[in-house]
Amino acid sequence: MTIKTLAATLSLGVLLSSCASLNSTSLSSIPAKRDQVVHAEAARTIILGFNFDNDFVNTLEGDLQKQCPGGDVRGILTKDEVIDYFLFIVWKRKVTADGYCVGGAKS
Amino acid sequence: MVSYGGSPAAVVLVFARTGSPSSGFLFLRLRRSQKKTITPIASTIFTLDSLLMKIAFCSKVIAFASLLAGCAQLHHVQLSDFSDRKGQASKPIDIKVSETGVNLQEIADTAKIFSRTQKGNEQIQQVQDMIALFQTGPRTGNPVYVENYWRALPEMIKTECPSGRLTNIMSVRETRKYPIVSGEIVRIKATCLTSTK
Repeated sequence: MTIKTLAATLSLGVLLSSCASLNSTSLSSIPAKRDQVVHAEAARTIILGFNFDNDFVNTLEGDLQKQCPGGDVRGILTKDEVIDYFLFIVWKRKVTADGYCVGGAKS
Repeated sequence: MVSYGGSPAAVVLVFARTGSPSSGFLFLRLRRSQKKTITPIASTIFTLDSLLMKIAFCSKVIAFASLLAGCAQLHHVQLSDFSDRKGQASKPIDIKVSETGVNLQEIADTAKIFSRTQKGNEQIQQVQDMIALFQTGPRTGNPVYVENYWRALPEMIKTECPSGRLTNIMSVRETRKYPIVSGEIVRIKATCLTSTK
């Protein structure tokens, strides 16, 4: 493998890989019973900063409740992160919520 | 805290500004020097010029639309415990408080555009540097001049939910960004448990 090919491969790898940065995290009280894990995720890809609302986060609540009908979701770890792609022109805002279903039916 | 989505309109504006005037200048020069005979190369440049002008016009329209729309920046999302227990009467509540944020750096940048002298530009730059000294440090969105605007939230929640029993709370801190000014928003979305059914 020539140096040029190696340099090109490395450059391509760097350009295609993404950088993740964490904006904030929060955690609610963790229950004693932690056998049923629930997970929800909301994300939006933003190009050149054109983003006109943040309504995509509203889906989290419904997603969590669907996974724990008739019960409580506790110990929710909310993670808000940004994943940068190619040359920081495109990036993704991702909010992830992980918790435990208590007293609910399995969905 | 990382701040994203600054001003995409500025990118489009730069493109619009660099796209049109130079090609327009070329067009004028060609018209003056080659009034009678237009060579095939010149006609190709004319076509390219009209295409560039169209692109510049579209860019300006997009930039104007995006300036009016305002970009939304998300700073923070937090979820509380969720409850879906039956036998409780409930109602959803959605409360929002906001305050106008001002970006003094953008004001200085705008002043630089309108400043005609080099000295004026330098003075504005000095002011801009001084402002930057006072506005360093972690923050979300633009500075506001009424810092206690969020303090009305507990009262508003009490009014919306007199029982005080809230669940499914989602708090969102976001910015609605316009040129120079911004809306610094705190939003609470929750379910108010009113009584037993």
